[in-house]
Amino acid sequence: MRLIITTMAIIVAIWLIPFVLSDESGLKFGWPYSVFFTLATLFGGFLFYLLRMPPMGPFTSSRRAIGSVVLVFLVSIGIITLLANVSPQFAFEGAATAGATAEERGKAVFNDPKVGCFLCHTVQGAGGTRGPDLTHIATVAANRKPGMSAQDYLKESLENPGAYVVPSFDNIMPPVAKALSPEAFSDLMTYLKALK
Amino acid sequence: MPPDVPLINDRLVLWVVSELHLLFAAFVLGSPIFIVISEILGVRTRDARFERLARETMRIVAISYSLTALFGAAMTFVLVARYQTLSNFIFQRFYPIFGLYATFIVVETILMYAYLYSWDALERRKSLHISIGVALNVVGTLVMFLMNGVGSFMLTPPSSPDRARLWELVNNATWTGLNLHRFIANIAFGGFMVALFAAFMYLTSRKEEDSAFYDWMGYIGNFIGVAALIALPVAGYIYTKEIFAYNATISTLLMADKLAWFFVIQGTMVGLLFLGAGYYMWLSIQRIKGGPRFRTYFRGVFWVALIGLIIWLVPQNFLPSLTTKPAGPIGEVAIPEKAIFLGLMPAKGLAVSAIILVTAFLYLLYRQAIATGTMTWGRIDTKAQLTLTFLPAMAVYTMTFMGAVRESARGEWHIFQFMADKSAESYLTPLGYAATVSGLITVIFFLLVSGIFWLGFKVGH
Ligand code: HEC
Repeated sequence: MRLIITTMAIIVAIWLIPFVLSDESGLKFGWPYSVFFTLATLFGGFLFYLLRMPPMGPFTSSRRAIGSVVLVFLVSIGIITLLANVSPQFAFEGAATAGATAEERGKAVFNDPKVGCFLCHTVQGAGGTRGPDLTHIATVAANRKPGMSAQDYLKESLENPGAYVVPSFDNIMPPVAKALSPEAFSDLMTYLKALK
Repeated sequence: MPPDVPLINDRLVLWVVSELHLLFAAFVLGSPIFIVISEILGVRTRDARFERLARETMRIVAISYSLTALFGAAMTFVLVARYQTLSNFIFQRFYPIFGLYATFIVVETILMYAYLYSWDALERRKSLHISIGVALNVVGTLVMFLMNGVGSFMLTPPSSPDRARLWELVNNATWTGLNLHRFIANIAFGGFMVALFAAFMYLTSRKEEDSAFYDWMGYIGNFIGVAALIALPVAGYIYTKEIFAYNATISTLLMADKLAWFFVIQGTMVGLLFLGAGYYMWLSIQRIKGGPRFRTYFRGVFWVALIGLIIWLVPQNFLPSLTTKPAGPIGEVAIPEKAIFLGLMPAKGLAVSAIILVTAFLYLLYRQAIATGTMTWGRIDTKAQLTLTFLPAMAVYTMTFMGAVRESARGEWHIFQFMADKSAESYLTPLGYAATVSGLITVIFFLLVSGIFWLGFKVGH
């Protein structure tokens, strides 16, 4: 009984807390997370129920025994399969490595840990803060230097970052272009130019 | 499924037969390792149960052996008939390896039958019999290493696969990692399969003596499974490290892009394996005098493992791929900024380590309890036996599912960045589809294995 009440209380809290927290708190989890935490809590409740469940005697017949084994097997496989089916799904299409658009490949370059852009830059809420937020860099780049196009400014930023240092940031960005293959560089440019 | 691809297609067929081949292969390779150890322990401790465990498991291995070959042949058949360019290339480049492989298979088969059928004849010459068993394992492991060379090559080939030397093809960037990982995983898998067999026999046996034996056998199977399971993440880490070092596109695809959610499901299953093993120990400890006094420890451990599992699994975001644009504000579907550390590697690593450590602790506690109390074999909570069927279900499912992930890691390539997959089914399979197919394979495998248990041990007994 106490177990059921505790489990329920935690679940209610999971769904209520986001209402109380403000957006600025930086701790507000979205609803998919609430679903995730609810499932985890239910599982936890089940686990602790199993711990205190009274002992179970032997089966009265082989048929029952085999039936139960099959049941345990199918139910556990079924639950995992179900979880996998309700998790986020990408559409049937090519992998990111081949067949992706230039923009998609460029995004992969940006997020590649070896290249490391995302360690310093944020795009749409995710990434580092040592460099400026790049969510709207295409628009920003067009207006950075008078008479310089977005294309040229972005190229300059990657080839020679020190040429223009964004106010309130340090000149710490490495000349990343050198480390990229021509294809990766052009994909990356396509991606940046799409961040309007 | 894209509309132009039929429900039953080449890839699906190849997928099913090769996974079944691999599952049986893993079983017949992993089990003899502890079968021989068990035989040695039987000689050392004069405890007749070790000998019986070794013999009965070896009988299952022998029956499974023919199924391994059958599915292996089916797999080759599909590859040659439907994936000609690939199989031509592989057979040509690896020709000497396949020659060696065929030779070793013959030697292995001979050793296997020699080991099985000389058991009585060599009763007085135990060391000779054990030597045959050891030789069987050495050859079996070599066979696996050879094929791992081919398998790992497809994901991480050397720079010019058509010109590289044979040794460079085999000893590619992830050969060592795959060898290590499969070696340990096969032992874990074998252990859990023994536990499944024991549970099956325990639940259907009538005689006191048999119940006592199979209860003990289930305990040993779980023991082997858990021991290997504790070591497995280290091997997994080494293997992924090698993939990362080889090519960052693969690692992005695996960890940050389309396959990232596959790892949430994998984590769920691995977590359940650890928790299930812990639960079995809890039920098992109950029948030892003074067992219930460990309750607080177990509760504590379950708390740590549960919270560890939640931290391990909480996803960085709920987007299926790196390029998906969220429908609503990003804050809805991504981890909030002050909690971002929960989604990053250090937190996950810590959580996994905590789960492993507390399970190892339970294990020691359990050994301690058994060493100091008296165990009454043959009388165990029936739930414990059901747990022993749950564990292999998770183990097999994890293996089939991760097989799918390993194959998907190549993306649209047969041989990474060298030979493109031009077939109609070259697309990546979404999570739900991959899990459903893996689940079905698991069920088929389970049916076949039950058939083996039934034929080998029930009919005519
Ligand atoms: C070590 C941290 C660091 C890394 C890594 C880094 N940057 Fe930067 N980046 C900065 C900083 C700091 C600035 C601002 C100072 C300046 O303009 O040089 C900046 C500026 C920029 C700008 C100009 C922004 C503006 O508002 O004018 C662009 C575009 C840019 N980075 C793109 C990239 C890309 C693409 C990558 C990866 C290939 C990358 N950066 C990697 C730190 C970094």
